[in-house]
Amino acid sequence: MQATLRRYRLLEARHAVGWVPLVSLLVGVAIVVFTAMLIPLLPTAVNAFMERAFLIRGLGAVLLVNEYTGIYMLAFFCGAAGLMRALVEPRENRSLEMLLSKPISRRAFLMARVGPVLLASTVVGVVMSLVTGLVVRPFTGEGSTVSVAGAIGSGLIFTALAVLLLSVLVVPLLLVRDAFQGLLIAFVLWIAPMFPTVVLLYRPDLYEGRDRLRDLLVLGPNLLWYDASVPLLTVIALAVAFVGSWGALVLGARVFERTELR
Amino acid sequence: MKARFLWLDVRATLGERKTLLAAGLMAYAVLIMPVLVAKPPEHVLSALKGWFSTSDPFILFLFIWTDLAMNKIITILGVVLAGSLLIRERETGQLAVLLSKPVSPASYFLARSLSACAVMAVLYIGAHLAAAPLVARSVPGFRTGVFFASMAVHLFSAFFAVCLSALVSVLIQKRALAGLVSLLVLSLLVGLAFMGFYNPAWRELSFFNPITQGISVLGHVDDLRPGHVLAPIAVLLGINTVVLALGALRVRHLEV
Repeated sequence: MQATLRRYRLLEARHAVGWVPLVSLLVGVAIVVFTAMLIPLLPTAVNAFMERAFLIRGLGAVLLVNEYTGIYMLAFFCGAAGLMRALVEPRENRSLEMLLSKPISRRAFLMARVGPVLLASTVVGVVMSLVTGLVVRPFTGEGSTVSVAGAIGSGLIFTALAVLLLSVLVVPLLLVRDAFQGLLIAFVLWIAPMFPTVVLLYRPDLYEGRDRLRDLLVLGPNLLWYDASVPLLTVIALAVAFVGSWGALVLGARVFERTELR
Repeated sequence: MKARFLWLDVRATLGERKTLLAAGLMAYAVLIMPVLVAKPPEHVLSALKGWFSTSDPFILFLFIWTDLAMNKIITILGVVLAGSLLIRERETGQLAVLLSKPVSPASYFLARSLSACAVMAVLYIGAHLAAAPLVARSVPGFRTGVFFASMAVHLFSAFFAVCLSALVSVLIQKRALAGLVSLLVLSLLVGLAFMGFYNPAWRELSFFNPITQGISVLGHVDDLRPGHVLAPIAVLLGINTVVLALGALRVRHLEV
């Protein structure tokens, strides 16, 4: 039985690793390189505005703020598309009942389908983070506010956040019957953590006297403010994401046990 | 027959849960806007003055509304409304049944795409109609005419998001991948939309970006003339027609 399950998991993994992660990976790497080429070509006034608005210093920091958004977006939407395909489409096509008529528990089915999707998202985020580390190298060194370790670590933190949100997304995706309704929920979930950064841009006065809250919530710039602490923060973020994702998946499995299949 | 089909499809889509969710997203954008523009920092105002060559305080609202809210919303709504066009029907076996009626694959594709555009228009115009009275009270120097002129042009960018998603859907024919590709292409175009304002040397290059066409009214807040509205609408109509024609051509060779 264990060997059969292993074979089943491998089959699901092979099914999950299709074009979606590959396209995400290629586009992701291209975006990191393109951003690194584009930002230095922008007029000085534009980059100075970004520095002033996000309380950062130097072209390397401006570049990284943009790169982090790309990593977060690609890692998340690669996974969201994979989850739509793995969880919502079978229900939409009325094939879920048939798939679960095999002697496989719902929990095993869920884990076999979601696991490879989360892994693929992680790979996309990790590769993009490593490439970000490479492209930021010319901007590091004496007097710089950014470092290669900080850039890679921050990329990994955004990847961890994306994977955690994807694990949370599993629960609503198990309840919807339209893949694109799921995509809309995914979008809301993805954009919500970015709001505090928007507030810093347009209403910085709301953070006056609330420095700790600002440092905690303003994703992206805050990792640049604490560049030296990023390696430690990365370890903490990965641990939190791992535990949080596991918890969300356990909850997802419970929800799935009680869900109508039609 | 086609008009009736279009009407029925629009009605059905308007009643779907995803459309209600999208309306909720629009409502949130409307409600949050007065908070975001209430106390702009000096460096933002000064940057906007440099990019759009105007010191009109209304530009701040129009910029945030167009870039932060509407550009992001049309990106996701375009994919949500048209990202699975014909794929779902084919997967569920409905396509063969639908095409047994006196309607060609190309007509069906065009009708569904136009229906998605109509739903986008209802949501988009609805959000602007709801925002105008609310924001007029809280934004100093709110200019209703410029606001709706900008809406008129940007609406055709929203249609582009729908048409592009429909085209990608029939080109790729795999729902998740098609949705992802449309989302990435549209996000890239949105990300580059203001480049011509940030760097005037790139203005000609960004002419080819349909989202840039949609935001062009922002460059004419002080001297808005009919040509500033009609010219980008004409360009966007042309682009959208070509995109839909390509989709219709592809659909003619689609295996049912």
